[in-house]
Amino acid sequence: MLSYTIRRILGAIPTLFVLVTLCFFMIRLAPGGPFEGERNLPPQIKANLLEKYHMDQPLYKQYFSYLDDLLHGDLGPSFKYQDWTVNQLIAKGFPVSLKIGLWAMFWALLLGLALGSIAALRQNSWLDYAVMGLSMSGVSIPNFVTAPLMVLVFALMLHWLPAGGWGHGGLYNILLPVIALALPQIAIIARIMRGSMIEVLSSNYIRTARAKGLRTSTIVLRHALRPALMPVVSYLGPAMAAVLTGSVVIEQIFGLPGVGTIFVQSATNRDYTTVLGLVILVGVLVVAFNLIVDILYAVLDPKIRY
Amino acid sequence: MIKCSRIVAVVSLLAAMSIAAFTSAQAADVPAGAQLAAKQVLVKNNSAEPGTLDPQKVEGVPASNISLDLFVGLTLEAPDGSIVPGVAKSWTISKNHFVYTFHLRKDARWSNGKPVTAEDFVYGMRRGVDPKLASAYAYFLYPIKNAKAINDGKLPLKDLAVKALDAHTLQITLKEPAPYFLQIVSQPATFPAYKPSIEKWGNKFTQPGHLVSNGAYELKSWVVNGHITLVKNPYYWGAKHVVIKEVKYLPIVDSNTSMQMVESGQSDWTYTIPSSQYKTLKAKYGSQIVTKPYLGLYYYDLNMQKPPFKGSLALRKALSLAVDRVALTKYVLGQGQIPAYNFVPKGTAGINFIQYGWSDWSNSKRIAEAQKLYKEAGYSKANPLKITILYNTNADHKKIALALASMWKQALGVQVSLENEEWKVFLRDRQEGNFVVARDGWIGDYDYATTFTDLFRCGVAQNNSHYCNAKYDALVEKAANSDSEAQRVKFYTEAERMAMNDYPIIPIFQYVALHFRSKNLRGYVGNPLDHNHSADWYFVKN
Repeated sequence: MLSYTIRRILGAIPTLFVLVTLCFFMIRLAPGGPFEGERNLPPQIKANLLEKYHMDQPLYKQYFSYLDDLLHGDLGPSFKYQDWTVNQLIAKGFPVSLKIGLWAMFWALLLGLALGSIAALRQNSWLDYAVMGLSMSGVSIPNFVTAPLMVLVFALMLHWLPAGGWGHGGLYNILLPVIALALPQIAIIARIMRGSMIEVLSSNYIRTARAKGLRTSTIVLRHALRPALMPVVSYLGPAMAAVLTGSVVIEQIFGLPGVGTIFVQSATNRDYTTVLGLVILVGVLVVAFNLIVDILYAVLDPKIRY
Repeated sequence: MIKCSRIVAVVSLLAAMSIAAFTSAQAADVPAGAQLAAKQVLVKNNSAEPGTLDPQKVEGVPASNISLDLFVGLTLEAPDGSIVPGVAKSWTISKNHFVYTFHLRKDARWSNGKPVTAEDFVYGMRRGVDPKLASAYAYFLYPIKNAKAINDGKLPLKDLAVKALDAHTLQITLKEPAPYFLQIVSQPATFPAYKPSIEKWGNKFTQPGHLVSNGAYELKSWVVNGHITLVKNPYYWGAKHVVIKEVKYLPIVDSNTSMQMVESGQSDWTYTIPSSQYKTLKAKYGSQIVTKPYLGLYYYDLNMQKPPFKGSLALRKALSLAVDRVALTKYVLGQGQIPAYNFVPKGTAGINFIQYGWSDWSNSKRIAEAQKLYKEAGYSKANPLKITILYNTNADHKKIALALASMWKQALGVQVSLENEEWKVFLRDRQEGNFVVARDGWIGDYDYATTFTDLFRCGVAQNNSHYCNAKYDALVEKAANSDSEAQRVKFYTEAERMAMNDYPIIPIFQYVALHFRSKNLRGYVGNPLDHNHSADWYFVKN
């Protein structure tokens, strides 16, 4: 297992290298640059800016200089947030996205797995239809609709929770964003869990267990749950990376200082270094979560060994 | 020598000679008998995260708002926008209007208690034009002698004509008389800079704990995209008149979220109002919705370098005539915008307000004239003009483009298609002249004619229609070098009339500043540049 993990980590290096290279050149292909705005800059002022950020040099030189800095752990200065480096921006923004994302995924897993399992156990009953109906709504109603609705009810009508803002990042401020972020995940996980649980429950070894007279709870918790979790675990790898690196929509709606907000603003402002830094962060997380998922497979399924 | 008191009298309105002017500090003008609230914490929605808090690099309204709370320049703006003494308690201007000598107050202190000296201003302005700092706002200092040459890398920093005659006397020599210069020195690019902190912390000098400011407030905390909190600067000379103790700026980009936050009592001030909700909100909140015209023009560029507009004055005029600005501002926008029949917004100093002669014509008369000109330009129903309006993706720009397209179609039969582009793509296309008709807008940097008349000079970066008329340039130049204000006003007005008669753009409306203020917040007066200082405000009891 250890050698497998090391091999996977080493294998991620060329993946990340290709990612950085592609992204470095692709973002330069986008029209416009970081210093263009409603106010057109006089040519000399623009030249001063390009020189300051070494953007007056040939692109290949900029690329190698970026790689050199990257190897030293320096993601460069931000063009948009001029007083901060990309390292600082990530260090400040990522914990915010992480906090909201982890809470959302915690609730999504807890409720999604429970609801999915209940629906599977009561297949074709009113309970199943109710859970699946809600789940379908959760999947199909985007969170840019549910979030403002929740704000309307809980902030503007009932005055229980704030309409937005981070404050000190306490429960009071994060509750609505966490719910808005968790709802579609609960729905997706419940649907995956229901499908896979139904499949597992109809397999031969479960029938054998039932024939032996085991209680339903024992069958579900000891024999069915682990194999039924496999598809959910597969889904969790990319989902965790996506949720943890910030939900662009949720962060914008609630005005939260996470990396999702920075990502959008950097892309629209052609803040090359910040976009690259965040792409690297997402890349590292995707690789890491896929690795964790693969390791979890081995834990959950005795047939899988590396 | 002309004494500063005379200049102040000219520049500022007497009505503004309130406490703020007498104390020459940012300070709340609390009327006698007003009962102040116990809690004086102001939360302002500031639209976006500021790009920087370095005063010499500040660009954009969000950063400027914060900078105006943190720092004070040689002069400062009273709540109504008039210029009053700032760190400079008085000044003299040489007869030829080239040399300004500022006498600094001795009680001006940095937020660490150290005195603010003339050297701090020299250092700040030198930083501003230093090509190594690469400030996008360096051009703000270009009225100062040698500033542009230094910024272009042709002269050393020491050649900037800003000299500290002694610790409290500063002399600035201009390259040409700039009647708006007293406004320039109230703005961030000219603010003093605290050298020891900048040298110690480098690019990180603006971070909490490092930033040393000289205004009514100092920086307490900064969470990127979260909030920026300022607290009262105890060393500020007018501190005892500053009522608001803490100011929290929130970078809420989404105007709906911003509105929800004020409605739920989380903040006291919005950067703007969602345009689609304006009428409902105005009906619900009345005077809490603040609407003030300011020096900004929304217009369409007609590409003067390419057909069909190149060389066709009749066509350009026909399209401008066919726009029903009253219907557009009243029914399509409906937020108090002022129909524009002029290039320089109403209320701008240094120029007489003029409008097109046809501005008061009836709709039918205007359209009849437009149809005549359209025909003269060689177009008809059988041979209609086909054009595309280019704008950046935005619901309001789309509404306006649709309205104009429909007006042109109905009045003249013009076939208009709309093309929206992502922000940066749009900027590139507009700047490079890849358009026929393009949306444009300009907010004045200061309250003087040149901030608008410069837009139409040949080869100027912001001249997106690429209008070029040597006679216009000569008139603007003549105005700039005039030694009397009356002459300047005359020449700038003549220049504006000349450009207007060439129809390089279609002026559409003058912007209005739209804000929501919480019920107990007082002190907002509103001014032509929509610059607001938190220190001028206060909360009253319920």
